[in-house]
Amino acid sequence: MLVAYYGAVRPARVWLAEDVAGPVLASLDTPRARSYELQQPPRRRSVVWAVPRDATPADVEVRRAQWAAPLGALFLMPALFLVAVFPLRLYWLALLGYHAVLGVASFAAFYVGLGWFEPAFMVYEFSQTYVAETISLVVPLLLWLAGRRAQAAPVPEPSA
Amino acid sequence: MTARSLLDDNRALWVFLAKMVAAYAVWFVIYDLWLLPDGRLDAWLSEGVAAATGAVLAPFYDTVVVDGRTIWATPQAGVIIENGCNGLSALSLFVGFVLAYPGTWARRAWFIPAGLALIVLTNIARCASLLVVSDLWPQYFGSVHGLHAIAVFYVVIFILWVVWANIGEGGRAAEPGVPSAGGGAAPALAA
Repeated sequence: MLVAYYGAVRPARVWLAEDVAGPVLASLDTPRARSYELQQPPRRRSVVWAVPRDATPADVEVRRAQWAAPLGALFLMPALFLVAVFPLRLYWLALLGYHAVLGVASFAAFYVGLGWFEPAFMVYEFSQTYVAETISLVVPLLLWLAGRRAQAAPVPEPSA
Repeated sequence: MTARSLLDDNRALWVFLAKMVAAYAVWFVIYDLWLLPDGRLDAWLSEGVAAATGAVLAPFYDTVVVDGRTIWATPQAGVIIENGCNGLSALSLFVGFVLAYPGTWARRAWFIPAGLALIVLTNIARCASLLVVSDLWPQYFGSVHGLHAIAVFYVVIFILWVVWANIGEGGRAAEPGVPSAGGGAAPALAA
């Protein structure tokens, strides 16, 4: 799992930020989007910052919006748990799918926030905090409960 | 709704997820619109964590100084408990699940305060360990701080969720698929 993560998922996150999300966001041409400058923070290649052009050094940290590629630590930790508990099942792929779907939806929210509608940034932030955390906690929990139920279920007696 | 029904019935599962996300959404809006601008809750929690962290480190460092949200283990090694570091979001994440997941209110009444206390204690231990890292291995502070918070809170909250999933309804009835003495009937006070 760690090999897959560091060998494939992390480079994919960088590619998503640098070659997909960054250019798509940069292609936005609305009055609101033009009031932002897109930046990539140093040493965080899977992140894109949208910095208001009139931000000052004093308020830039509060006012800038941050888009981060999905499948970060909030995916890695539950994925490792799932691999450890269910080594023969590919539940971590299901988790990856949920995070990927959330990533697409949250990117859409960020896109709308950057181009047209400020509150969409709040929707993006909510999706990246509580929704992503809920997925990372609920999926392993329910799978673990289901696995335990399967173990507790009585084995049917063979018929004659 | 019972814990068993979550795994047997898609509708029950969606109701549980919807309740949880709704609870988080309400909290998120209340926090963003009122509590964050007001600042008093964050300040109270951050200063409390800072004071407790200073008390934890005092036996090991003669030079501990706590100033509001800032703790100095030595004049060179200090940390500030910012809003994002005081554990408030972890606390709300825990409470939202316990409110949404099936369980009795009598058990919630003691489990929520106990879980909140455990999360706060975990954060105090996390801040103390970060200060030690800042003093002994300052070059690793950035990377430890980044992953540390997510990992520590994730593990603790996941354990608390697992515990609640087991004890929320009480006895063996809480175990999905394990029939209770009454044939697995839902407890009277189940949400």
